[in-house]
Amino acid sequence: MIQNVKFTLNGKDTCVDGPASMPLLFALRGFLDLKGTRLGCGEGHCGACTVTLDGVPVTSCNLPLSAIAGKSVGTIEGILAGDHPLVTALLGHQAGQCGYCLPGILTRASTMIDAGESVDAIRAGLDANLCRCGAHGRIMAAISDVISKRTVS
Amino acid sequence: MINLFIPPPLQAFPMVSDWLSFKPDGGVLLLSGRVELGQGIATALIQIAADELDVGMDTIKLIQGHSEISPAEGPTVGSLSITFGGQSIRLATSAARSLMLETAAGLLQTTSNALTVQAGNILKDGLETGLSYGSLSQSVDLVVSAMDHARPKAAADRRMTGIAVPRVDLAARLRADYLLHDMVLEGMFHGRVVQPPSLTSIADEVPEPKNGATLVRDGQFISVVAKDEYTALCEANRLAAEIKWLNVKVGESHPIDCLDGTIAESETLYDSDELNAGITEVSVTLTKPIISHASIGPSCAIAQWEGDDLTVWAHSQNVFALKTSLARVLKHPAAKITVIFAPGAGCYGHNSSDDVALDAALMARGAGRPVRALWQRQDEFLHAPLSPAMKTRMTARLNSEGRILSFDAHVISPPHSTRPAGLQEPNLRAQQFLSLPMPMGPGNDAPQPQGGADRNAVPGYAIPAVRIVRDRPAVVPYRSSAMRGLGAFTNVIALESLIESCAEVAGRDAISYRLEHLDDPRAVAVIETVRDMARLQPATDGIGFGLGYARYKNSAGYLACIARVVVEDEVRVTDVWSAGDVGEAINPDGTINQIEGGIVQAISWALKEEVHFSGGQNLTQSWADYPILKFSEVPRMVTKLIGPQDAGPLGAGEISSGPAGAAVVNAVRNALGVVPHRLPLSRHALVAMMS
Repeated sequence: MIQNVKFTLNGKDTCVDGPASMPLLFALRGFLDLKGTRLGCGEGHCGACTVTLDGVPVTSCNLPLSAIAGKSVGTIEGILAGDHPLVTALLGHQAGQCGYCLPGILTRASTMIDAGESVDAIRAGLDANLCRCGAHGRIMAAISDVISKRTVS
Repeated sequence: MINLFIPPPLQAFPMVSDWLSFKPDGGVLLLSGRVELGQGIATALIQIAADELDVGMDTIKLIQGHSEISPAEGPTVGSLSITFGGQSIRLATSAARSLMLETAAGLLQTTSNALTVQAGNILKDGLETGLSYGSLSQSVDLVVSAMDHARPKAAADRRMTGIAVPRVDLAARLRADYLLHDMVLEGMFHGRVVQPPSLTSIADEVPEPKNGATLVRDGQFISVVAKDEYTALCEANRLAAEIKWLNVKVGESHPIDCLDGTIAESETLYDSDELNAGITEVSVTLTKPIISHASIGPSCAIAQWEGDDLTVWAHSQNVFALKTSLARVLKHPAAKITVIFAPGAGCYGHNSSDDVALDAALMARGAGRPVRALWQRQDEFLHAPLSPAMKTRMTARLNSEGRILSFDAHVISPPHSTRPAGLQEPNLRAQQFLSLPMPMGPGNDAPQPQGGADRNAVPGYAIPAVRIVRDRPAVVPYRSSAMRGLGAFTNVIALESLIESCAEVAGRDAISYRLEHLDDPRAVAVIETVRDMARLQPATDGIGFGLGYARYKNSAGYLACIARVVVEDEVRVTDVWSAGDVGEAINPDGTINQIEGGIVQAISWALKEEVHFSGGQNLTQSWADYPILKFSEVPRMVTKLIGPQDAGPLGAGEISSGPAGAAVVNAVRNALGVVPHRLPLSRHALVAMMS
């Protein structure tokens, strides 16, 4: 059944028409022209499609539209537009190779940083995000940088 | 004239104009057949050109892997993109600079030696002359031999290479308009393939797709095309569930058992009459399972037919071979096919990126509109080419002083390449399922000294007598092909394991023992450096250090790694120290990123990865079946490059798989006092080792 789903997307009221079972990821990429969120496995295993739902990182490839009605969704586009310090830190550390996993990692890590989580907690949290090129060390260095600067200020 | 090495791509494409052109606004159009797979090659190639031309990196637009525009350099493989592709660009751009200065000197009635270039402007005595690359762009003929004019800068005069430069593409990769996966053509639909369960299977009844989706079918090639991606996915999955497949035949033999079965072909690559020299025999056998590319992004391609003209966008490693392979399978003139590289997710070898390009071309032809095809995660595990299972047995014979006098390696493996090879052997998966099916070709292994399965089976140690034998098993119940380093991963681990065993027998310290068997000072230097970097401690219960060393292909970069592991229920790698010599590093930060990425990948292979089979049936369908190294499992890493910047570049992208794998395996051996002989070193394998 096609359903009209109203929700908040990167702070703006949004509505989208689609089957209630359609995962949010396909609505973002196909109907809302937000392609920064990536399709990896479609099963919630790899984290490439991570977004935030009411401020909590979740995978969007297995999150049906019916579950987001009335809620607030954040995507990588929102994080880039908000100039999150982790974006600058990741580029500063050249923390990536192919970058396919990076929007999902940035989304989860920046949300956890903003929630005041520790480096260790973020590292454990990022076990939900796979990186195949092996940029983990640089990504963690960038996260540590942001957190230590925040602690100082 | 200096005697310059002419890299093979420049021999094939000798004209300056094959590699670059200038625009009136001063912009430089740089052409390369090498493609950006996430390894940072685009940045390094632009650095080289900027250095030779004396222009800013941002004035250079690089076109990579365009079948009609780029020099057809062949595949982006083998850590050769700088040594061959980059050096070609260095010579061609230096020739372009010389040609520009010769013309400018004529106009200014001076000599080119009196002229310099700054940001594309031609200066005399440090003052502007009004001439620039832009102003001369229409009057200088670049259709001339690059080698007749090449005057590459001396190492000491280089400004833009040998320094850490941010990747030109990394920021763009965070956004939605860079990857092929995000590209949209006017009127483009989305497609998904329904993969037949076996090569022999026949679909009995294929239901019609619903919700506006259409079926595109040719024989047993079955696909669904729809306006939106989710509909294509749902309908393809519905068909996959509802189609009744007949004649599904799966082999009975497990891929690992096939290594001990009938041998189809045995080749002795090196031989010696002195193999019986020595009195003490030491042997090591290592079996490596099948490994998946396991890229985070599934393979994607977009195809568009305009009349008889087909354009395909693909993240292929070799658009030139893909073009001729498509021509053969589609029975369509190659002259009417254009293949354009567009970046995808990380590529570590021959994955399904070429397969999906044929799928897209078939779907676009059937649907009569542009189609974006994407594989599913399970298809990647089940149907993409896989890094083959292999077994290496190595034997050394030592004299009474413990010195190795002879060495014998026996490598049993399917070929490490079944890449698309154009007209003879297109090797695109869907070709087997068409109404007029074409069987896949057998593939081949690169000959020595590069080697395929036997890559790095030849020891880099000074051993007087060496024999190398490579056997190909008769039964290979899966698609074997190239993945980062080919046989080097297994062979380097086996060799470094053997060296440790020999040192033990000889009663020597394993590091000194290696140094005594090395006569290449650059090899000695990386081992001595990494020994000094690591805070080595004697092995204690469950904690061990291990060294791994190799010069990749015995001709590319040198790398020595030391790993520290803690072995409890599972193996945890806590630290890896590395020292490398890649000769000239164009972008040292990028080189270290590649080396460390390769280390993480090798640890993941060594500890966790195996594509599981039951008989000949692949059971691996999702990440749940195929765990890879996670953030919490990645070690601390320290990496030093010690190579001379004035030496030639040796290649770096694949040099760490073998040494890192060997360091981990030797560290586990030292922690437990048992020599591992089967990868991965999973919890299950540890229990088996200790019992």
